[in-house]
Amino acid sequence: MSNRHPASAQWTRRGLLGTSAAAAGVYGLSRGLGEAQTPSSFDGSAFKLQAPEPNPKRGGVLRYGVLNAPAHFDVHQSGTVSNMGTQGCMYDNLIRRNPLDSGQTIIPDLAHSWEISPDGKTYTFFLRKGVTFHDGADFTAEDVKATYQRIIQPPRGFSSPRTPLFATVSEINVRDAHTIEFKLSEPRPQNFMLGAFASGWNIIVRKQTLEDNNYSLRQIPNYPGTGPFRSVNRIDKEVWVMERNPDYWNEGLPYLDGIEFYHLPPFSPELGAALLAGNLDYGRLLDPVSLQKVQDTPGMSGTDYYQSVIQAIWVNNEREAFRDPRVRRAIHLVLDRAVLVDVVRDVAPMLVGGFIYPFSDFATPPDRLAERPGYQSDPTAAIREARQLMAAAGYADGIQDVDFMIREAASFKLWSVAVQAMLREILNIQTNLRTVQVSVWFDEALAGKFDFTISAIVSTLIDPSDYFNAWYGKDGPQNYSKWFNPRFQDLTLQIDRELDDARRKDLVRQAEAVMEQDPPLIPVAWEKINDGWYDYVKGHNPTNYFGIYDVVRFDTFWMDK
Amino acid sequence: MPVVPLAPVPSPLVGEGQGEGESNAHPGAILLYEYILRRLGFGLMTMIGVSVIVFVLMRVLPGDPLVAIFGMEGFIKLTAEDRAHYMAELGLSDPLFVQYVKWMGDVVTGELGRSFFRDESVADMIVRRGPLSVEIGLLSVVISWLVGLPVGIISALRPNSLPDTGARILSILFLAIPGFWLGILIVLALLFQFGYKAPLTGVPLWEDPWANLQIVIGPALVLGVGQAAYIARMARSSLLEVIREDYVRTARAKGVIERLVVNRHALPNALLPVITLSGVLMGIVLGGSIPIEQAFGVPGLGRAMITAVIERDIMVMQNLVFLYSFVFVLVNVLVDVTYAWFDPRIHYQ
Repeated sequence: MSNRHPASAQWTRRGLLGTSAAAAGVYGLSRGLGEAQTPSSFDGSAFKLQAPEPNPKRGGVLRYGVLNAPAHFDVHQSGTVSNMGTQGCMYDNLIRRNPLDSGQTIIPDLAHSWEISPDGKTYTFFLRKGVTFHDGADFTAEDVKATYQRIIQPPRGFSSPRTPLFATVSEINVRDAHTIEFKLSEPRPQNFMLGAFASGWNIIVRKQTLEDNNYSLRQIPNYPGTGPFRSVNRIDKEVWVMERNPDYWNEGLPYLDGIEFYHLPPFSPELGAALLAGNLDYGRLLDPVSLQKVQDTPGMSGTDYYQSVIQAIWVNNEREAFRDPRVRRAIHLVLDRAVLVDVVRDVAPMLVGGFIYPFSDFATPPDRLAERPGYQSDPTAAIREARQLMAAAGYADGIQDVDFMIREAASFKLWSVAVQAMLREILNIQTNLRTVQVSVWFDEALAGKFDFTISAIVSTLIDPSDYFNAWYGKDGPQNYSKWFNPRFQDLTLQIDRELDDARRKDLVRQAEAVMEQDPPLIPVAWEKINDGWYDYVKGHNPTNYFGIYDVVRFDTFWMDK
Repeated sequence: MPVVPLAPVPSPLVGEGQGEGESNAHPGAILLYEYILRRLGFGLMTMIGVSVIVFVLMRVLPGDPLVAIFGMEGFIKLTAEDRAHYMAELGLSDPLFVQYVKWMGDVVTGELGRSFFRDESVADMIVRRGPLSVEIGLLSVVISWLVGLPVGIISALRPNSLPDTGARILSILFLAIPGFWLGILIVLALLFQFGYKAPLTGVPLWEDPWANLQIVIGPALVLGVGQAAYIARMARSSLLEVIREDYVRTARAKGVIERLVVNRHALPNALLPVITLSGVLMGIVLGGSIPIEQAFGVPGLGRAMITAVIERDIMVMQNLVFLYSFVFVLVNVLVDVTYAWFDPRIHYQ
């Protein structure tokens, strides 16, 4: 059984664009740099989405397994699949990632068309008419304004990881009931801005809903959206039942009568067992062993795809020994990343990489990365350099009593033991492992109560302007190492502002070189995701997703049974 | 133990000199009433002690609940005022004594507060998930008796025989095997051999008995077999002791057939320590059900406890630990009373 979706061979980007564009005049915007021209204006008023297969069937209830125990229900404030995996189908965005080409392009959503001014400082969106929320209220530009004002200019007590994406938005103006414009203080790359608007997290909620709830949606599981499904019943940590929205604006969608989202932990045997036993039609975040079993089972298919997450070790720069870039580079050099990926192969799927998403256009190509110390199959040169660096930094005899805090998870525990051995045997760095629960990890990491710590962090976009600032930037919310490098900071600012793709890519390379010598964190691996499903589940294409947060609408899903 | 057996007398619960026609009333009836009150009093004091320990433990555990709720990025962006506001909203900014009194008030009124996450009522959660855990506990006790008693009796009546040796080996085996591991093996075996997995969501017994049974039978079986090993060993040693008693020898000398000697004279007396043991084992069931519910994926209280610990949901944790303690204390009081009720040799002090 192939590890790719049966229909994926037919679902080339060109083919899909041809299908939907011919039918509806849609234009797809590439996610990556240099792959496609970004139009400054686009008319998609006739756009209509439909399943890629001919004659999709109506009806049926999809049984879907995914983590579904969020800390709260406010999607704008969330960063976890626990929210998006289920709530994503209740809402729409201004524009969205195309589910038919695995999210590679951007297509209309509640905004059918858009214009970008020649100076790149005004983004105007033209909204659909006749769209209603699940409570029957009309959708207007005021709802879009209220939504984005909440994200861009957060009210008290509100915090969204997406706020920095819109840092240059200075004004949001409602031109009329169905036209809205965003004014930027300075231009940003169009792909970056449109990617930010198309992020699955930026769901449109009703202005009245926000006002009625004092702008706090944390405890409200079913605030109305305009999406293809609406909430029927939710049993905490068990199941969330959704039903079809009969008034959905995209005529003919959704095909399913409903969805039952079963709460099942990621990468757990329980999830794999439920799928293989037929209790589910589709499972997201399968463990590698279950994926293999799925792929070996007739009538089932599965695939892996890239996730917007890095797994890393943060080295506390406020500790004297680790303030020295030479020590951090030495640690960076001696980690055998191929081995680390192999160590967790039965627990979670991973990929070797450096400081940039290894599968993105911005990354150093894998073959060239493999020639670089720290990534080579033969570690001899890297080890020699690492020992020289430690000696030059005054730590030729190693470092003792290093506190290594491990976030409770199977992969982190496996890695920590392997990393401990690598550091001890090569650099004589003696670490004391300390495993803590997730809630404690946040507390301790925030307070800087660690020398090393291992965990994972997520970004919204594949564009470095997003995660360079959040992960590595001075005062970045996920810069747990408290790392600061003036040269990198300056380069990041230039990357944010540079509109020319080639020059931007060159700046990214320079920033990468800085990080190789002065690591802000120690990359361990880059996460992948496994999905498995029965072949009768159609209308989806996860093969090239970037993360599990952008394409979660289920509107094109249908069941051939 | 406040129950102290006096010197053995040849007049047990149903034995020589106490036929069916004779009255069961005994001079200890009023004393028994006082004894029950005293045991309940001790139970109440134990619960107060447990509540204080649980409350204090929940407050000294590391980890800020706001960090758990908002995540680090969200927490960083909260102002001091915001943090104070949310802590007050969660009821965590009051003095500890006030928090404790409020909690106890909630316990008495059955409110039990709300989860820090998703705002679910803890009482509602217990009402929804509790029946599954109770079913598993009760069913496991039944299974332990159904399996353990016959095995123990056969072993005692034919000591050192092949069945006895086999039973003892199996007893030790089930004592040694961790329940959660056995649970995982059962889940995997059912999946790979029969392509079967129990329903994913909790189903009340009165709505769909078949689906409900599929959910509870696995955990109950694992817990029950584990307990059965203890029951069998206790039943064996107790019965071996009793069948050497004079009154059993007398019954045999009078020509009573062996089945009646065992069933009417020996077994009822041999069961007394088994009853006590079952009460103690209830603690094993309560504690053991937590990882076993997790292994089987049963949406019961044990699984809720694990999630609460991971999420550091203080309100759920402290109420569940308190509930488990309450059940444990209650079962032990009931066992003491039952023991005293059944055995007239008991003197109440």
